[in-house]
Amino acid sequence: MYTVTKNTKLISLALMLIGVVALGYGFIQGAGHHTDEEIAHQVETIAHDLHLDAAYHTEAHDSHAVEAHGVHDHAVEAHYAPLFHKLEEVFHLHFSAEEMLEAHDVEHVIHTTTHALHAKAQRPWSSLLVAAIFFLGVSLVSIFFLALQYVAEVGWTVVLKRVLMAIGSFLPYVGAVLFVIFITGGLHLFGNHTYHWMAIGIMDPESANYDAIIAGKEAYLNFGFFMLRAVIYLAGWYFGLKKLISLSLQEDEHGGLEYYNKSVKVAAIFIVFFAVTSSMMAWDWIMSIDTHWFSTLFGWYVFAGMMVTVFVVLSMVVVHLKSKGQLEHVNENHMHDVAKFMFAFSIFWTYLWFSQFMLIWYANIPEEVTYYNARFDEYSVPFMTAVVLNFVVPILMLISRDAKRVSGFVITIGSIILIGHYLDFFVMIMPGTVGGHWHLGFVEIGTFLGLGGLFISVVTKKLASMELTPKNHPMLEESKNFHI
Amino acid sequence: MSKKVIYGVYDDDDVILQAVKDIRAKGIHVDEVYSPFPIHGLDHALGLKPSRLAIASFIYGCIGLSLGLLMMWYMMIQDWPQIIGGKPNFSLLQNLPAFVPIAFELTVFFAAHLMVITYLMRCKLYPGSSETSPDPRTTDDKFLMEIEAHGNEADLIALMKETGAQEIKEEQIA
Repeated sequence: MYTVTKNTKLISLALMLIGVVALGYGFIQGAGHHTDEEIAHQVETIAHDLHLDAAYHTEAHDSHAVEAHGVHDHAVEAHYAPLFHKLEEVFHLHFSAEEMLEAHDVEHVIHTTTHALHAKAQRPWSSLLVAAIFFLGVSLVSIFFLALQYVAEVGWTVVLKRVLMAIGSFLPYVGAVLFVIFITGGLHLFGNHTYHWMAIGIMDPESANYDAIIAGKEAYLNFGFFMLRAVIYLAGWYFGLKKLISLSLQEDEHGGLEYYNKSVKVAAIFIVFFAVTSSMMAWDWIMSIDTHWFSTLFGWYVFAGMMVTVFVVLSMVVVHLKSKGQLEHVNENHMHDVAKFMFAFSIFWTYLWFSQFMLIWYANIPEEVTYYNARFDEYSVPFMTAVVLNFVVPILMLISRDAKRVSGFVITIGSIILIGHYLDFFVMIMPGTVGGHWHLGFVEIGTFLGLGGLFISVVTKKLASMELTPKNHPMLEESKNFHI
Repeated sequence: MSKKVIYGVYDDDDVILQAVKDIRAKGIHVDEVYSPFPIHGLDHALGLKPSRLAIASFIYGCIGLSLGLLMMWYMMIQDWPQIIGGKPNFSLLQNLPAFVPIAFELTVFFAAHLMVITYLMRCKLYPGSSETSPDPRTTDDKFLMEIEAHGNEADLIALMKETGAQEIKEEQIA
């Protein structure tokens, strides 16, 4: 039996502590958020003090000289800069040159400031969502991969099944984190503006906030139905995992084919359920952030990314367990096949990434390209880095057989791929939630590490609670003698 | 120069795999094994070097990728530029997303076809080549091991019998 060592416990505890501190720091930074009226009032007061109210407004509209010089005249650009600088001091913000340039009146300055302050309050929530989606992928898709082993009656993975079960056991924890995000978002608490369609008045034709396109999606995107779906997804997935674990443990005790055959049935139903819910989960929890935009293959694209992370994390856990003298039947042949999956799904991820991009790039329809405009303009570095880390690195590093058979090398490359997929989720979520005011700093990385610490703690505890090699699995011998 | 070879005919893949291992463990070189289907682990048991087909395939893929891009550049940028969907037609780089599927297909096409052709050539399976298997039953249900004898025929025959050979033949090859 595997026991969780003190070091592992300390590391996971330290990581969780970092996570709590990072989140706390994020909330304190974003706290003291003011209502929109307060912000407007404060901006107007400062503008008045600086004699920037109204004066320029009339001048800009009356003077033909300004038009003759074009809108981007330097005098025009500089006009509201002092106001912006003062606001940066007062609210601890940072405005880009473009934002300052775009402001044509005090009204616009108020709008920009409100956005920046909302982004600041939103920052810890977005960081939490990125980290949660990342670990949701790891645990959820490892349950899917486990179910797949039963349905396809795979032999070689038998000695890895318990590890997959342990990784899948993180699902309820990450589910709880997601629920915190959903509920605070739906109730507009603590500055959570993750889902734009949850905003007050957005579906109300009388409101100033009304958005006809979003209102048209009300039948699907309303808080009640959204929460109901989330409950159904998570309950279904968790039920599948519980059932597979308990059947496998009963098989250890009693033996016989009965439990295996039952597992195949459970797994088959799970896969059908997963096929629908994995896509819907991606639409609900990620795609609905950019509420106007949609992409048909988005669910598979998200799934492909999650699948890659499963194989990386699986290799890492196996290497850890082997270093503790566990999993004596797992050898480089098993690891080779896991690395093959890692390689193959990296290519599959790129295929879907590119398919989504190329169609939108070619068709050039305004409501579709805005999605990529935001990513190329404001997120070009993480956006492009993700493609390099998720495609170029695995294709060059993992293509050869010899490379795939050395676990140390595979998990080194795997760590790079994990960073790539974190960035991938980052550029899916951030542009629609914090826009141009994004950071990749202590709050984001700390939150990720914190959830990672919780992951390590839960998974190692689960690993220590059961025999790591199933006893009476009908294909156990095949797996022990696996050779490629 | 003529040489003398011993053929041992086996009727089970596991038996011949074990036989190869046992005979090689005695320091005797097994020249060839003929089998109706690939036997897992036989390459390793025979002490064959890993195949270099993968390296060749990688190079073929690179050739396909370069040719694909070169073709698209010549057709769509250099020789007859056309405006399609308002996309820039004067730069390969800016038009790259449109060319990726073609370049990808040609990469796969070159890698796959040239790899198969290389494999067939290396196995001497080109048109007009003659059969090399000493016994046609190895295309049906028999497995045959070939060992070159250097005056130790009796030992080899005994060894093959011991490891489960069903028939043994001696043959002089010109």
